[in-house]
Amino acid sequence: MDRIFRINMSSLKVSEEKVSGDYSGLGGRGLTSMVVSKEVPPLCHPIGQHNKLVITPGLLTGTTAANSGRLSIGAKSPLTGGIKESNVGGTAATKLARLGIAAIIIEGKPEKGKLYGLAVSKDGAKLFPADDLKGLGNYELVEKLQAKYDKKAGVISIGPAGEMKMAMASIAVTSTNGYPSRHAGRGGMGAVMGSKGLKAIVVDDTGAEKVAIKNPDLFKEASQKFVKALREHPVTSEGLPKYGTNVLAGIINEAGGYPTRNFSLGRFEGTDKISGETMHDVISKRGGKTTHSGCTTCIIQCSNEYVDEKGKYITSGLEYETIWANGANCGIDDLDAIANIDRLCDDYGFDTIEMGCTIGVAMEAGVKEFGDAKGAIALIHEAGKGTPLGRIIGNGAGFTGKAFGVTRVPVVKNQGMPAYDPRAVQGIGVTYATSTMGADHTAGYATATNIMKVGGFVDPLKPDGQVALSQNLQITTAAVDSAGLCLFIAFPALDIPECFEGVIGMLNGRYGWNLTANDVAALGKKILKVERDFNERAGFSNLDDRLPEFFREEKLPPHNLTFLVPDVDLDKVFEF
Amino acid sequence: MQITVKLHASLRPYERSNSRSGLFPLETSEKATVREVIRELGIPPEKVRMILVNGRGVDFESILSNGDRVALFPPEMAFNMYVAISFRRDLNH
Repeated sequence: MDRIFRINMSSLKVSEEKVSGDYSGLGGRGLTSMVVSKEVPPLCHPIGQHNKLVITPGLLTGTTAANSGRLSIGAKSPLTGGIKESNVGGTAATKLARLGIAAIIIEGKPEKGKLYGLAVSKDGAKLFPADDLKGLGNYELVEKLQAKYDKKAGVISIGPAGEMKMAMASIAVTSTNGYPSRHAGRGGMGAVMGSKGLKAIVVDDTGAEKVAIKNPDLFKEASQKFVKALREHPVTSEGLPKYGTNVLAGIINEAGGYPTRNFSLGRFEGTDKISGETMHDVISKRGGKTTHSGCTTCIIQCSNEYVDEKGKYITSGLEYETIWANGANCGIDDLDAIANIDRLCDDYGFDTIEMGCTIGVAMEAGVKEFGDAKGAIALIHEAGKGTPLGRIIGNGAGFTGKAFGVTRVPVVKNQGMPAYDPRAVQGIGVTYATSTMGADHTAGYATATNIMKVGGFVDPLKPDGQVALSQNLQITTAAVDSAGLCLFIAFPALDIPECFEGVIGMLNGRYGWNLTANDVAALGKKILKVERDFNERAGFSNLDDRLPEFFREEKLPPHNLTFLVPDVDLDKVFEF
Repeated sequence: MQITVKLHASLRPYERSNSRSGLFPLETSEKATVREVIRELGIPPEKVRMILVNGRGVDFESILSNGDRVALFPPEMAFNMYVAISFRRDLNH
């Protein structure tokens, strides 16, 4: 896995080079962030010719390692103005890795209004004109491309939102069921792809050779250890497959940290109607799939296929964050409506978290009433069609808050906040505030407390210990994101020591390395420093590592607390 | 005294109402502990991995007060993740 393809959209030339120098030994987020840091001028316009879109599988992707099918997509973000790595599952990462591809770097900008596609196979990478695909939603687009190329081909694509270069535009990746339902949602990566005039990348790994393993015995032993941990742990073997990620709704609501009606309450009275348990019952009754493997090599199977009352497919991978953002956060307790919103966002190519945050802000402004599901759907259509109101919505929560004069706007570095209120879960507030990515739950989501020796009990309602916790989690997550592993491996990793040993063993077996746990932490630190450095050069300072002021002023029921971690402590997160 | 109980996921079959939401009121003795409530409901203790009382993480020996809301979570829901870690007292060695 040492091929880098450069796709120059100005000259329409494709070139190939070998991984070398600063890029050696990196994958996933480590590689996207290093390329962006080295090659993208930090002050460039995010949708101008100097930005680059970097697409990389992780270090373990392409092997038989369980849950190794993650893809990292990086660039300077049109939403935050800083560095971005948006992480997505599906089928494409494994196919790229099997073709020996470490990275695809898309640079330059074509003649105005021209649209292209990129076909990647064992014969190399080739651009093709795609003006005929202009304006297509992801679902119709993928159907057409799979009919033309290969039914099993992995497709990485943008919908109309990306073509319109909206700041919340996502990049879709086909799931194992062939639908474009997995998304690199965060940070407007779809707008960058749209600015490059690239509508889709079709990845066909037919005829690819197996990924080479340096030490097969070590790899096999480590891989088995890893699989055993995933199969043993109740969350990865039972909770996630049965209820999906939405299993979290009950927990976070009960803990009083489930942001409701644009972050004005910590519990939603309609949670039972949209919880993981209810979703499981609805899908089962209608004959949909409560359990589904959305990503190649996944053995957790947290995905699902949501169907309507007649059993017809609506969407797949209906997720906790999506259900919260477009549900509780908008006062909506109608699961069918939320499933339709997810489908529309996947088709137009919108980030579902940013969309829900934005609709919440628009509802706060009175554009629609809280709880108005039809109104929310109408706003998404406006955005997808690019009407003047839709252009406001499509550019995110921060933009919409400004347009309508709203002060309660839940963003950090202009990125909408995910489904945990920082007043009830103070530690995640530290991550939202300080992450190089903007408000991002995944940046400090993977826990590895015993690996990182954090340990101990940190009260979510108190400021004590939150900075150290967030720091360690951000470091570990940066490393996991580089391995190409699903973040959910963190659940067994905390309880079962063999799980993390398995990860290190697989890396060593694959590459013939001698990594220890300390080396993995060092990799995480290196990545964060590279990202932080880019952001500084792009004009960010510690003053950007802050939550919006209402989190310090408005008390959140039921615990009636504000965000309590002092600014001086937030500034210590990157002291390592 | 009276408390409110909320049962999640695979603990739902132990509920004392027909609401199917797992939410019901329960009469208990004064100063009852969480462990006593779990026993009273007939739930095997190993089926409870995380306990929230009024939205805060507690352990089995916590003493309850009138009006408390007790939420019980089974192992498959007891996320050891960044947010949930702060609620699971068994990590507090």
